[in-house]
Amino acid sequence: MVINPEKKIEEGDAMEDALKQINAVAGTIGSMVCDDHGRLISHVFPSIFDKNMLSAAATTVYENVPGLEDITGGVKMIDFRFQNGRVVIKPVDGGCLILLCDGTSNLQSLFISLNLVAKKVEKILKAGPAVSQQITAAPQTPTSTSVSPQDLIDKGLVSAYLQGMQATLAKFMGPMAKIIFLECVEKWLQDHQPVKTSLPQLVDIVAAEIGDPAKMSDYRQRVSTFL
Amino acid sequence: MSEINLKLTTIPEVEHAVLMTKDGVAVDDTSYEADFLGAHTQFLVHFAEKLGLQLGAGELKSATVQGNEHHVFFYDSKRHYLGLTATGAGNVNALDAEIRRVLAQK
Repeated sequence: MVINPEKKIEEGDAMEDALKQINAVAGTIGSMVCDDHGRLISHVFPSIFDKNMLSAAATTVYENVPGLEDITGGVKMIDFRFQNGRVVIKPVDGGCLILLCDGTSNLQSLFISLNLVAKKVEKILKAGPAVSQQITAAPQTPTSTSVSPQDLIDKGLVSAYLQGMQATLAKFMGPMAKIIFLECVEKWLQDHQPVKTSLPQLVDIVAAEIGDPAKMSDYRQRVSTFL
Repeated sequence: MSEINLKLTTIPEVEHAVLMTKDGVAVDDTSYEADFLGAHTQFLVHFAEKLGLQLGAGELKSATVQGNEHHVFFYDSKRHYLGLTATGAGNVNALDAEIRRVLAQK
């Protein structure tokens, strides 16, 4: 694919402009966008917040928001209130918007601006990677044509079964189920094709993670109803 | 069921409330729902504390998670954590205010 550098710069500028709009709301210290792999795409923060610090925060958000999906049925917004301020997280299509505010922020104005800017950010994320990502992204490992475990769960041929197995596992393991299930699928894919006939082997791997024999048997019974 | 749970479940949208020690042990509630909510509350606390540390925001005081089907609330106190779930149909900010009002009552 030929990348037009001018277009990338425009996208980067557009993302920064969108973030500046949020920062204009009184009490907002800074804002950033990460993509759906937890990579920092763009940020408008005072220089005291270095990039490594913001990247680490973006990774934390990426790793933990999925853990709240089961109990909420999909996260719309998270608002953490701390002693020295608040952190607002707004998941969007293709990534996440993260805001750091002080205690004086006007919530109503903030949420209105956030909802408006979230749409713009979604549009930019859909259009392609921003220029900052182009510049800072670490070298990728050699490209592979194989499907990632997450893609397989989200939209693979056996995704309905996998999602059912994952949801059932959540009843036993709570929010850690997503992470554990992902690891199980990864392990399963090392020796098996992602087809329905090899799902019993995945059930074995997942059941082993549960540990407790009674719960393992309960899990097997529950998933057997839809496999 | 704890007294605080009974008080909070008078709010129609509140589904379950669990008062727990900071070690994650539910107070006066041994139900499956309390275990489930307690685990998620602990998870939310760990997530928020890590993020708060990374961004220099200080100690976590409270949290709201607005969800499609359920909202989750968290409140910190000196010795306990309080976790709640409410139906996703309710306005999350209005619910937060109502929960705080009920908690402030003696």
